[in-house]
Amino acid sequence: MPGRSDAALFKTLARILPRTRIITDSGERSLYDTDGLALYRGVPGAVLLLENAEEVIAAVRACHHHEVPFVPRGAGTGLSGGAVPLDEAWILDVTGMDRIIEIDPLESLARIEPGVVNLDLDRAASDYGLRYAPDPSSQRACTLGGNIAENSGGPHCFRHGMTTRHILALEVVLPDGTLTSLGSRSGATAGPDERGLFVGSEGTLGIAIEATVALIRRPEQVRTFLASFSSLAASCRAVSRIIASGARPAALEILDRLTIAAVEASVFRAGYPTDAEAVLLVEGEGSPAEIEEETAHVRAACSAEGALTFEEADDLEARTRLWRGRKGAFGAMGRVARDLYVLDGVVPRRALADVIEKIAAIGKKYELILSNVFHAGDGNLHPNISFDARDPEQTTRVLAAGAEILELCVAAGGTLSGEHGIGIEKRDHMGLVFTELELETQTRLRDAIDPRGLSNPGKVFPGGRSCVEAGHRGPGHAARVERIIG
Amino acid sequence: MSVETATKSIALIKRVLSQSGGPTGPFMPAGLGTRSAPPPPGVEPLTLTALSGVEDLDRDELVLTALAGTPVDRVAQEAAAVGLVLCPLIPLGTGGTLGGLYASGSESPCAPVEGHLRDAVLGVEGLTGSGAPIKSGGRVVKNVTGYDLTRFLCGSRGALAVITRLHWRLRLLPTDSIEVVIDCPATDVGARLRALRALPDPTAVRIDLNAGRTRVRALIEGGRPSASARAEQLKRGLGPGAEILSVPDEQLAPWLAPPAGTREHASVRGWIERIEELGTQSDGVATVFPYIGVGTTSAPPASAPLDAIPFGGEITRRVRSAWDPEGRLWDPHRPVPREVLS
Ligand SMILES: Cc1cc2nc3c(=O)[nH]c(=O)nc-3n(C[C@H](O)[C@H](O)[C@@H](O)COP(=O)(O)OP(=O)(O)OC[C@H]3O[C@@H](n4cnc5c(N)ncnc54)[C@H](O)[C@@H]3O)c2cc1C
Ligand SMILES: Cc1cc2nc3c(=O)[nH]c(=O)nc-3n(C[C@H](O)[C@H](O)[C@H](O)COP(=O)(O)OP(=O)(O)OC[C@H]3O[C@@H](n4cnc5c(N)ncnc54)[C@H](O)[C@@H]3O)c2cc1C
Repeated sequence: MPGRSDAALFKTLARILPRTRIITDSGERSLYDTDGLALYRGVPGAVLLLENAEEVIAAVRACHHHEVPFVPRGAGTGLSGGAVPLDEAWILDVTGMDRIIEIDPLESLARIEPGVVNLDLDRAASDYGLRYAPDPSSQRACTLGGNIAENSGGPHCFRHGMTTRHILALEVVLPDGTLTSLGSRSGATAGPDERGLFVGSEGTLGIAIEATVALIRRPEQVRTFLASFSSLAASCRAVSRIIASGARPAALEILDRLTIAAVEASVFRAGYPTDAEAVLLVEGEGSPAEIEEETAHVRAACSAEGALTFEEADDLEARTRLWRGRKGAFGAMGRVARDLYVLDGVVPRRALADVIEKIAAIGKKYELILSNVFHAGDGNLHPNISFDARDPEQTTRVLAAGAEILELCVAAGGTLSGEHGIGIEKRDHMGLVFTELELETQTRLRDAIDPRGLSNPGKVFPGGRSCVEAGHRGPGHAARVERIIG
Repeated sequence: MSVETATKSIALIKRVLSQSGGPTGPFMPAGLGTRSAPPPPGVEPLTLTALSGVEDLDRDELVLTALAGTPVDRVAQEAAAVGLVLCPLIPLGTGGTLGGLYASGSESPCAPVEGHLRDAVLGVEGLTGSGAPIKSGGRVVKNVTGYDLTRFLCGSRGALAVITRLHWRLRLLPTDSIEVVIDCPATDVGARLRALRALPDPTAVRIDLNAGRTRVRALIEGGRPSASARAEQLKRGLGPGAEILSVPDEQLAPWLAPPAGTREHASVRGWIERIEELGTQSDGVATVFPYIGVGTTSAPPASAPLDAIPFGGEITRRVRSAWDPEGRLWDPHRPVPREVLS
């Protein structure tokens, strides 16, 4: 092998793809230099806009042949730097592969291309009385390919499970261009669950070019509850009570005082009580009889923890209003400061209140504005740090606080990430969770599937090479965030 | 077993595996042997039943940690004593070890509602064929830190790793179980399944075929008023002749596990055709869980030689050669589908 040759790769691909779908102009390339996190940046060697399976296979084979690293990319909303190209890797953008190939109501499944936007799939399924359950807050923009690579979650994953539970089968192009099928239409696997390994592999094991996903029935009835509390600890205890009662709500979300204030001052105004220290948003779904049971449990739990207010909403308009604040929370934080660092740690539920108190202390120590929105039912925290990325000194404090928060989560019996992935952001913290030998077992696996280390290199594992700059956002970023929250 | 003793036993397994060029091996990890044939000559069993014990059961967080050789029934008993059950509804009377249950990748009929067995396991520890440590997941429900080896190794049948410890999800014990059943000719199964699909999913759906007639059975977790309302709704949806029956506790394990027979995989549509076909044969017998695509039948299918279905694919092959270059773990490479249960 002669080693990496971008020029030779370009020549090969120019024979396969129209010139308009190979982006080499430096201004245009720089639109792809970051993702939703915006703390890391790297300009790709080139960007390929791929529109079908044959093109992906040909592009990956060519990258492999010419030893050029590549990064699969969806909508670029990831929050751990996963789609940021390092070492001038080429971007393989699959957002053009956005066909819903099939929806089969009898089998309760859909077959889709990876560039399909999460919400578009859900909307298409609704014509059949079905839905696609995982609902990340970015669902208006993020793609199923990105969801699969990150094993994304969303509020309703508390009851219905993360993305991996809803992926039945995958068609995958391995980093050397080998096409392989994982899983099956029923979700059953003959032997090891290769499907499960690929989900959450953050683009490091190749590119998903097709997925068969499970759809579930839309619930007969939905009821949303909003309870406010005079302390965050009380709201967390209410969550534990609800779970212990045997209720099975679809979602259990908490927003803290600062987030409530930001939401209420923004276009996402939802009518949350601004004098509360926390609001708990609960959603029950099922038959009318189930809803009545859930209501009794939720009401009793909130009352036992001294809820200040308690609101129930049945009709779509009122429910949408209550959710508007939660779904728009990250966007609303844009009012507080220019930039937002959304962290993603997990702790056992019982540790929530204590850990959040300690997180507040870390915020104070580093003199940062810190707020919390979280998937309380799963113990999945999103401490949000508001800051100005143009200020390198502030950015350094932000990163230091972030690292301490992650240490705290792991020490409390939790982990580094519940849904945003490791990417670049947390790769150097992997040692908090794994020993060197345990990490070596994982990197051996990666090397076995990608011996040349070409598929999204520098991500997930510590010590990856990088030409990362902290504190800069690419010009494309503002536009993208607007699209998500607008 | 104390943590100290467990650590010593695991260290011993590690030593056995990493003895390169030694006279022993390849090894076949084994639990209670309820679901596997004894190893062929030249393959040594690596029995894990001594690595046994529930190390922690957390009623609030709904998670337990147990060593892989712990009998499933013991785990289920300990959970039941505090009002909990192993997900996805693994009842008493299941048999085997927890490691064996996980390594055989058993499909749960409750998957459409509760998730597969692989979704119930929160974390795994083990050793590769060359004795290197494996760790994935942990005791929290959401976890995307590193590769999801917890799911990958579910169903790995001892060929990729020796499983030593598992973190497993729990949930509240259902107070009782009920089923809605309807008897019909095999040719009517498609219509019944279509009717069911238009209703909220029951916990599990099973079809029993015998002598040209089928019984469509929908399992619902009982005990709450809403469950009775749900059962009534399913009864109406299934049409005249549908009945509501109770499923006694001791019947739950056999309800959920397929009996002996040839194992087949097909889609819902595929199963409708297959049941119609088997229904025309006087000796046609089948037990099918259509929503998870699995069933056992009395007769081998006419087409598609199922033995040809490989154990894992390209990814498994590559990982095995990286993790176990000397082949110290026996690669059974045995076909999954033809396996006879019980
Ligand atoms: C709802 C339900 C559905 C079921 N469906 C199935 C099914 O579809 N298929 C099926 O086979 N069984 C099924 N079962 C049965 C279940 O798999 C057994 O009960 C299981 O527990 C066997 O345990 P064992 O200790 O006897 O395993 P064994 O028979 O000893 O081993 C089974 C397999 O696992 C491997 N193994 C065992 N322990 C380890 C370990 N510690 N590390 C690595 N590998 C190990 C062995 O090498 C072997 O390949 C089902 C059970 C339930 C409750
Ligand atoms: C405002 C906002 C809210 C968010 N809310 C949530 C939330 O609630 N829950 C949540 O989990 N996340 C959330 N996210 C994070 C993000 O939206 C998810 O991680 C999402 O899945 C990323 O999808 P994407 O299409 O943007 O992927 P990208 O950012 O383009 O890529 C993400 C990763 O996936 C890989 N990838 C992309 N496509 C493929 C493919 N076809 N094959 C293989 N690898 C591929 C990339 O290489 C990269 O590593 C949020 C982000 C924002 C900006």
